[in-house]
Amino acid sequence: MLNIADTLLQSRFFIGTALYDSPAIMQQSIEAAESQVVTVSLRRQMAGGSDNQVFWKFLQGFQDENTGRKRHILPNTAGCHTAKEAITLALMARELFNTNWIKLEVIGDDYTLQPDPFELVDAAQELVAQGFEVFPYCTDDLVLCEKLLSVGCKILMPWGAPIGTGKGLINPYALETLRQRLPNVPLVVDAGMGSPSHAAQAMEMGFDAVLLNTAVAKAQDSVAMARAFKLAIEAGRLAFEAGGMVQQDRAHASTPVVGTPFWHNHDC
Amino acid sequence: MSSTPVGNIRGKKIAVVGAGICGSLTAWLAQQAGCEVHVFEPDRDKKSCSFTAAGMLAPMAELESSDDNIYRLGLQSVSLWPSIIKALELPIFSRHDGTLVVSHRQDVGAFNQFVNVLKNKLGEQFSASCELLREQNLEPELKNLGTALYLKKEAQVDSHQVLAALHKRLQQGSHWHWQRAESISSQQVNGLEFSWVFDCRGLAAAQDIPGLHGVRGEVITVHAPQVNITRMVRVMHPRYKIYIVPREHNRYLIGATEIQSEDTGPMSVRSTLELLSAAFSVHSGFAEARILALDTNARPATLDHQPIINHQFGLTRINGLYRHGYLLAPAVVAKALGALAIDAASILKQGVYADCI
Repeated sequence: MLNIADTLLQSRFFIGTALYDSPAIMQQSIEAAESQVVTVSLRRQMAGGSDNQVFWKFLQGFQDENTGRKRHILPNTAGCHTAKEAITLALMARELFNTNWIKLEVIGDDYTLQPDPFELVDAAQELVAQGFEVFPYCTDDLVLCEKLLSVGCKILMPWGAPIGTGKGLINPYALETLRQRLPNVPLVVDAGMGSPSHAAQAMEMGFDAVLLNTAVAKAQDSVAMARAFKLAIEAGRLAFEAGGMVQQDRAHASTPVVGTPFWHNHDC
Repeated sequence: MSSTPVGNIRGKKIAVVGAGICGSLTAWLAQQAGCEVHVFEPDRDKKSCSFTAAGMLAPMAELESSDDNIYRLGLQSVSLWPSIIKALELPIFSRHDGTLVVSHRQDVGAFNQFVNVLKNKLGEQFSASCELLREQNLEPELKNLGTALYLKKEAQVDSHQVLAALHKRLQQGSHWHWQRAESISSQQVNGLEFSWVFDCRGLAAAQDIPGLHGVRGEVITVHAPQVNITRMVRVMHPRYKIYIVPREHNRYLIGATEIQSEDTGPMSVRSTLELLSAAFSVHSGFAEARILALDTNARPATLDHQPIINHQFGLTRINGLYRHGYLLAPAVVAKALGALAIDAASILKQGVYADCI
C-alpha cells in the first residue's frame, strides 16, 4: 500500500483527465486504470469555474464512489506562470473540490512546459504555510528537490520527460540519484511517459507512483492503454519489491557445468 | 426509413422549438414536406451557438477525436448539403475543396500523431480520402510549412448565410413565434396542440436530457487582405487544435478552443493570444489583419459526444451535436424526421413544396 499525504492507496497509478475524446471515454479509462488519484486542471479544462454542472458532477462522482476503492481528486494549477497565479488558483481549487491537495505546476517555458523552479519554490512555501498538501511538479534536479522539501513539501513529482512528449525517462541517472538520496520521500514520476514499459522502468527504480495523461488519452484505444499502464505499474512495483538480480558483465550458466556427464559435454 | 408519400403528413401541425441549425433544418424540411410548421424561438439577437460555428464539414479531421458513427453521419451530411443550398435558392457561400493539415517543423510529432490516428481509424479508406504532400502547392502562401496532409473530401458552408436563408424561408412559409417555450410535452408547446413536437433547444434542454452539458468554444473573425488562402487549414500543435477557415473577401475565421464550461462571457486574453499568434505563425500576413469579431459560445454535448435523437409519442428531442452542428445536422435531422415518415433525401430531390401551403 502506498501511504501518501496520510492516505493509504492501493493504486500507484495517478491519472489525468485531459485530452480524451469524450467524458465517457475518460471515465472508462480511469476505471480501467483503477486509479485512485485523478488530477483535474481548473484553468485549462474548466476556465476556473464550476458552472458546468454536468461535467462537474461527473468529476465529483469519483469522490463518492463506493465500489471498493475511494478515488481522490488532485486539482492542478496547469497553465500558471507565476507563483501568485498558482496560489490564487490553488485557493480556488481548495474551495471547489473541498481538498487541501494541490498538484503545483508553475510553467517557465511555454513550449516545453518546463517548470519554473524559482516560482515553484516560492509558491510551494506559501501554499504549505496555508495548510496545503503540495504535490510539486518539478524537474529531476536534486538541489531543487531538496529546496522543495526544505520549504515543507512532503511529496515530490519529478518529471520523466517534458509533458506530452512520451519520451520516457530521459535522464535515468538523475532519477536514480533522487531515489537514492531521498529514500523516505514519496516520489511520483510525473509526465513524459509514452509507453507502459517507461512506467514499469520508473516503478522498478523504486519510485512510489507514476502520474500520466497523454499516453492514455492519445492512444488509439485509451481504455485498453489505461489497463496496459496499470499492469505495467503493478509489475514494476512487484519487481522492485521482489528485488532484482544485479547485472553481470559475463555470462554465468544457470546450470553448473561441473558434474555434467562427459557424453553431454562432447555434444557441445 | 420508408419514403411514405408526402401527402400523408401534408397539413399536419408540427412545432419546432429552437431555431439553431438543427431546429431550422428540421422546420424547413417539414415545411417542404407540406406540414404546417410553428417555430418557437425567442432569441432575436442570434446568440445560438449555430451562429458562432465555423460551418466546417470536416468528417475526416473530426475523426481524430470522434468515432465511426460521427464519421458516417458526417459523410452523409456532406453529400446532402449541396441539395439543401440549391433548394434554399438564396446566396450561400460554400466550398468543396478540402482541408490542408499542416504543422510547424518543430511540431511534426503532433502532425505525425494526427496522421497515425487517421490511418488507423480510416483503414483502407485513408488513401482514397487523404493525401500526404511532401511539398504542397495547393496553397502557395503556406509553402514554408513543410509536409501537409490534404483531406480531399471536406467542405464548408457559411453558417450565418445558411441560418439566415433557413430563417427567411421559414418566416415566409411557416409560423414563427418569438417566444420561449415554457412547457414542452408530447404534442404540446405552451399549451398549444400539435401533431408532433421537435425539441431542438440545444443547451436550454439540459434539464430534460441527462448528461447534456456545455463546452465553451471561442472563434475570432478577421479581415486579412494580405492573406490569400482558399482551403480550410488545420494547424497541428502539441496542445492546441487550431483551424483557419477562409470566407469570402479575405475574411477568415480562426478557432477554436474547447473548455469544459458553460460560461458564454467574453473571450479571455489568453485564448485571444493563443489563437491569433497561431494564425500569425502560419502566415505573417495576419499581422495586418483587422479583428472583426471575437465570439464565444457553449455547445451542447453529451457525455459520449454522440448526437441524440430521442423519440416518444408526439415528441422528438434532437440534441448533443456539440462541435459538429453543421457537419451532422442534415444526417441527424433526416433520421429524426423518420418519426413522421418524412424522407428528407427525396424531398430535397423533388424540390420545393412551400408554395403549396
